[in-house]
Order: sequence, then structure tokens, then C-alpha cells
Amino acid sequence: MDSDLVKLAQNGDKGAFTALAAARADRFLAASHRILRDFSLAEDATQQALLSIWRDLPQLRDPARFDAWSYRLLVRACYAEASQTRRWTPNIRLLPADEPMATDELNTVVNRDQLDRGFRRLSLDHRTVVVLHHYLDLPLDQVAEALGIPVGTVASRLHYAMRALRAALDADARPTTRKAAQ
Amino acid sequence: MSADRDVTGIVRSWLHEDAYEDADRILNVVLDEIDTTPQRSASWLARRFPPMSNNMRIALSAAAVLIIAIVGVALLLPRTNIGDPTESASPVAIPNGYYETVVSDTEMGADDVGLCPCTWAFTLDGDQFGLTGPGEVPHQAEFAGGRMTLPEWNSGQPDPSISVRWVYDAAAQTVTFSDMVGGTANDKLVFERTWTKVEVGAETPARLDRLPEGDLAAGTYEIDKVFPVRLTFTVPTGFGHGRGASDGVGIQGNPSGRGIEFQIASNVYPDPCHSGAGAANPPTGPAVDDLVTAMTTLVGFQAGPVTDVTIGGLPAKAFDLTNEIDQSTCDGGTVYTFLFADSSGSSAVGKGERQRIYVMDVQGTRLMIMTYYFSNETGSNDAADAAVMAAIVRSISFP
Repeated sequence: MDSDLVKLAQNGDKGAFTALAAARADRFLAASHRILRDFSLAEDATQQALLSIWRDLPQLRDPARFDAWSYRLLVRACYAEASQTRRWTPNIRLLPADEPMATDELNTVVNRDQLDRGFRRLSLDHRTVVVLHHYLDLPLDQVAEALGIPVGTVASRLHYAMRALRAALDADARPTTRKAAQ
Repeated sequence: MSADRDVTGIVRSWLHEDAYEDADRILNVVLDEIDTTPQRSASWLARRFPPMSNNMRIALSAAAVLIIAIVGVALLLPRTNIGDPTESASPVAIPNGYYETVVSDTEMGADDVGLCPCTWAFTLDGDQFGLTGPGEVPHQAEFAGGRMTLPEWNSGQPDPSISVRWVYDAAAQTVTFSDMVGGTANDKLVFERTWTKVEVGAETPARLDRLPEGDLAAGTYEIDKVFPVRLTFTVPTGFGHGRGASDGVGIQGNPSGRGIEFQIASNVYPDPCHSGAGAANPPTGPAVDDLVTAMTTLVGFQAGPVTDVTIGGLPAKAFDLTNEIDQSTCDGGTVYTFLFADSSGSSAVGKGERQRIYVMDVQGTRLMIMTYYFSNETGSNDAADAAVMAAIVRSISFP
């Protein structure tokens, strides 16, 4: 049980921490990669988050809150990485073109580019909310806990982000649609 | 929210399609490092102090007061150590304040083409130097020998410190950074250029483009630079701002599902459910009435009567729009009403979304003010939403 592992790790049990970290590292890396849109930054953020978890774990009062607390540390690490690189850093890593497509709706490279462009236009705050909710599948209240903001603000950011992505998809897709219709 | 259902599916698929992240290498690094990384003690645990006599308490209290007084006086003294005039080319220190610089598109990296020209800014407040913008935080600054050193500028770098020479031109009120030591190539965009001091009076509304995206404190704000129309407006607590893919400025409510956007529209989709058929052809005319007529005759929308109102002392047309279209039957599963003038996208409308739209001419620019709320939003109150949005519109002025 994770709570038992958390308690052991809080007391310096490295084996328990290893089990906790190993179960989350891939997920952390995937989430931070999507938030930061840069693989090397995501690696750094994941590493910092895991180290912070180890270092600060004794300060976690309720072991049952471990997951929300750890996501909070991950988000902080992502913000720190994004802050250090500044917004003008050319930090966009295009996704490999030979990856398999997932759904019928997402069946063109154009769509992926649209989403990539639309996503990077979002602020870090908005990207983070989208990733926590739509990738990590955290309910809004847990996203709020992870970010330390009200649930309403999470919902607001999510609403804004999805509106923006909708607009981005439309703006980029429309000429293609027209062309195809001709 | 139902309005997001289709796009949500696309976004979720896109987010989940990458599966090549393998954190084994990182995990191994972390597990190696914890051997030499001590855990912090539990600060929330009750601390125990040795018994203390009354005389000792009095002595310690007096010492504490004295220390506070000394530190306070030191803080109140002028920063005489900043920019040593014997070594710096500048005769004065860098004054506290707000500094701006314009970054051209060519200065940006190849992947950021199109983001500029844009204005960047930093603030200096005593020993705190900070760029403005999302995710930026103040950094401790040390001034000596005509140089400014930020010991913790790049926290993720082996050497986080960065140091630059500064020259302040009092007549031009500019500070020029040069001779950067440490940092990355990207940092040169900040520390190898000239910044101009901009006066921001306390009575002046905060400019949105100078604020980090996110929650707004209740108060009056100004939109400038980021938008073709300069205006101010006042919001209560519970609103935040951000920029999406459009050129508009959005103010989002909290709880979600209500907000206000300032937009410049170039054309409309006469049949919003079938936007694949294209925008109006010929395009909507440039006059206020042209846009009002086009927007109030959208297929599938219920439009209220057009009324004459005054916003910020200028005449405007106002009307309500309600979208009852089931977007699952629409092109791309989305309902679009109009195109943004900067060609960056189109305005999507969700089912149940109620908009009150104001169209007006502001010094030759046709401004659309769109307030919206979702009548089916959990926890929202239609009357309260409408009243809040109306109050924001009433507060708008055009300086």
C-alpha cells in the first residue's frame, strides 16, 4: 500500500522511496514533457521533482495526500524550468513523424501540427491545467490541490484553454478543408 | 463541459499518443543522488525549547528590538553600494522601476518566428530583479563594481549565476546591459541590450500586457499594446486573464463559464454549424451595422433585439445571442460564428452559451465586446452572471 511506503520513505527508507519513484517516474516525465513541450527540460523537471519529493517527504503530514502533493512538486519543477528558459527559448521539440496515430479524429500530421502550435500558444498555466486534467486524468479538485488554486480557477483556465485550442484547430484546418473541397 | 466534448476528444488523443518517455535514466540518477541528499526535518512537528528565565526573556527581547532597529535603518539608507561610480561608466545607480525593451522578430529563434516584435519588461525593486511575464519570478540582485550579479538566475544550470555590466543614462532614462558573464545564449536577449524606464503612476490602471497571466485582483485595468483599441475596465474579484490563439483579450470568470472578450472581427460564418462552407461571401462590410446585421441573422442562433447603448461615452449596438445548436451534427463538431481580424482563428461557441455582444466604432476601429456565460454551467446563476458582466461593460472607458 502506498501510504505504508510513504511512511517508510518519510523515515528515510530508500527502498520504499525507490518503489514510489519508480511507479511514477514515467508518468512524471510524460506529463512534464507535455507541459513544457521540450524533452530535455522535462527530464530536468522530473529529476528535480523526484529529488524534492525525497528531500521534503518528511514534511508531508498526510501520507494519503502523497499523489496530489507529488504532482504539486512536479508542477513547481516545471514552472522553474520554464522560468529559467524564458518564453523566447526555442524550446519546441517536434514530435517524431513516424509515431502511430491514435484515433480517427487525429489522423493527419496537419492536425498534430495544429495542436502543437495551438498548445504552445497557451500560457504555462493553461497548458498545465490541460495536461493534469486531460492527460493525467486528475479531477478538477485534485488539479486545484496540485496547483494550489481554487477549483473555479482551474475550470476557468481549462475553459479558456479549450476555447483557444478550438480556435487554433479551426484557424489552421480551414484552408486545408477548402482546398480539399475544390 | 459539453461545449468542449469534441475538441476535448482530439486533445486527449493527441496528449496520449506519445508513449516513448522512459524515465529509467532519470530514476537512476535520482536514486544515486539521494544517497547524498539528506531529508529535511518535519518542520510541522512541535518544537521543544529549553526553559527560559524571565530575565533571559527580557534580555533576548531587548536584543531582538535592537537588531530590528539596526536592520530597519540599514534598509532605509540609500543604496550607496549600487553601481560603484569609480568603476562604472554610469554616474548614478539604476533607479528602481519598470523598464521595457522591444524585441524584434529576427532576434527570436527560428521556432519562435511570429511571436514578435514584442515588448519585454523587467522590474527592479531594491535588490529584486525580475522579468515580467508568465512564470517569471524576482531574483536576488547584487550590485558591485559597476556590475549586477544574479546568483540564482539559472537554477537548473551547473553555474546558476549571471553577471552583467550596466550603464544607466539618466538623461535618456535607459539602462544598457553588456559584458555578460555566465548564462546562456538566450540570456543575451535580456542582458546584451538597452532597456528604457517607463513611469507607471500609482493612479494609472495596471496594463494587462504587463501582468502575468492568471488571476486578477479586483480593480481597474488597461488594455494597450496587445490590442488595437486602448481601453480600461474594472473587474471584481474572481477574474483572470490570458491570451489564447486569437488576437482578442479574454477575461475569464471564476467560476468558469462566464467571461468577457474584446475582439476585432473580420467576417462571419452565416451558418455557424456548417462553417466548412466558408465565411460570408461577399464578406461582411466594415460598418458597425454590417456586423450587427450579420451576427443577428446567424443560422441556428436566437438573437435578441438590437438596442442602442453607450459605452465609455461612445455609441454602441447591443444584442443577445443564444446558441441552441447541437454541435455534434456540425462540421468538425464545433460551432463558429466569426473570424478574428488577424486571421489567427475563429470564435467557437458552445451549446447553451449565451452571449451579449456590443459592437461599436472606436476611433475608426470596429470593436466587438463579447460577454458570455453558460446557462447550464453547474453552480452558475444566470442573473448574477449577466449582472456581473454588465457591470464590467459599464465600467469600460476609452482614454
